[in-house]
Amino acid sequence: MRTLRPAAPDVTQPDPAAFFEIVYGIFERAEQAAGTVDRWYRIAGHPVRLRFAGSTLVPLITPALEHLAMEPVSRPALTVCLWDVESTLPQVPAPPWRMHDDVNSQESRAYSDERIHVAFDIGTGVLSLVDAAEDLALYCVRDPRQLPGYEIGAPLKPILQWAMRSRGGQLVHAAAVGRPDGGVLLVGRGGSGKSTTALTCLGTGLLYAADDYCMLTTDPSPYAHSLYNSAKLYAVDLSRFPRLAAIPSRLDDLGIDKALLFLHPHQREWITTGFPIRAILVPQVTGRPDTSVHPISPAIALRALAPSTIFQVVGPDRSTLGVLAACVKRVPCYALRLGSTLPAIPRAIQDVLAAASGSA
Amino acid sequence: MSTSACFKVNSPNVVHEVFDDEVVIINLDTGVYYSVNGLAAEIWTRIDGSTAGAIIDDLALRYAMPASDVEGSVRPFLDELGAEGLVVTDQPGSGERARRSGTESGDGAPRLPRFEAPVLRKYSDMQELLLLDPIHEVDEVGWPVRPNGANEQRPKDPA
Repeated sequence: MRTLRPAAPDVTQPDPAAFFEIVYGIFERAEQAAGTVDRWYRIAGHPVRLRFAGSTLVPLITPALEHLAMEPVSRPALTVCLWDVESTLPQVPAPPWRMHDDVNSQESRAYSDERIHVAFDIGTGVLSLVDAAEDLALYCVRDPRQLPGYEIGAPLKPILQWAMRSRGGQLVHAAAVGRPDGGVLLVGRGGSGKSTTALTCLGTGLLYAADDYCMLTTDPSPYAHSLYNSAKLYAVDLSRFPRLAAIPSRLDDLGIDKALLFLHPHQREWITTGFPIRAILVPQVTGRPDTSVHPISPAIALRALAPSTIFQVVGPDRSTLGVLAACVKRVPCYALRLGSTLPAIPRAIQDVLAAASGSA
Repeated sequence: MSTSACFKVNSPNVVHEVFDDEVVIINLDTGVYYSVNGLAAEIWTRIDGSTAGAIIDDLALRYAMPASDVEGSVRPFLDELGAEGLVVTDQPGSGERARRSGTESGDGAPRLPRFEAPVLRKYSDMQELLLLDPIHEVDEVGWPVRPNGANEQRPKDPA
């Protein structure tokens, strides 16, 4: 093992499309050796086929998506080929893009072009590639034993972002809860209280669509599509949510990371696949007992939503800001000042939805 | 910064969204984002294709103030936009906005009650996310991996 040093660009390396073909060929070899396992999911309204080489990744990738499971159809909108290097053996060749000691996902994004998108996440050891022209994606895991809980709880994010963009979808860093006729988007950077807010709504009549990531569409009107039925929270917070006690968690597996729970199939009646967005809430932890709601400008909501979505989830991209702005300009926006009395939080959200219904 | 040089937004590295009361600006290169309102937002919305002189004259007319007074507040703001990489300058060309004439004050725009120095509010909380990746090593094939010490702990949930 050696420490990576800056390297000059190698002009003999393949272009992105050629690299995609090389990696796809490796997947086919893995598939021939390990067999095919197919799973189908309706993601943001589109049929998506997950085509696994072997079964190793199936229990790691599918639980978060299981509430979106569907029967196979003849023509998927997207096919994702998944395999792991550890159990299928064929190695993926060294990445053809230039890397430095401080390499990060932006380095590999720089390798992408209009058709081929490439991301390598050093935290998860996952290489993701999308061929937008072919509606084909590749998801290669270095070592499934090292796959962190946050990837198991919310897998395939770069692939879903790129593949759904041409269909009007935008992956956003937001929680979402609501009713079948409409819900709220909870926005803010990590630690702002959006996940806690979403968890307080479980079993209260407000349905759960997301605690961290969902797919946003804005045509004809803002709509939040659920991607994952997972919920994450720190171990010390488990006692604050007794409704979650009966759901098995992966806390033991995750060590210092958050506990990870899948609401499907244990509490499938708590989950929704999505709803129209009636309001955007920006949670703020106050330390006071009461929860209250106060109107804010769309610009403040955008400042809560856009930076973490752009820099933390989808990567620097010019078009994302416009999509997010289109959403915040079309629905009322509020600061949700979170109190310490948890049952008051879903009631405050219900009040927002009732007001939105009255004005709709 | 020359008075005759034209400003332009530093696209594609900089994106912005204009609201009634605020402009949100994001530097995609640095991870820093900004907010401007009031006079600062007025300046931002007229900066693309304008010279510093045109902006100052325009605001002097709008606020009925001597251009030299306006310049004392506006010039540092324009310099700050440049220093933050949000705007760049170009030589004046066909895209340059003409200086507004004295009839502009009658265009229906309300005269502002107070001239307050423009402020660029800067938010750097996302920068740390771009700098999280540790010094790493590569495996035998060439893929980067976390250093041995880092592998002993699971990576933190970025959310």
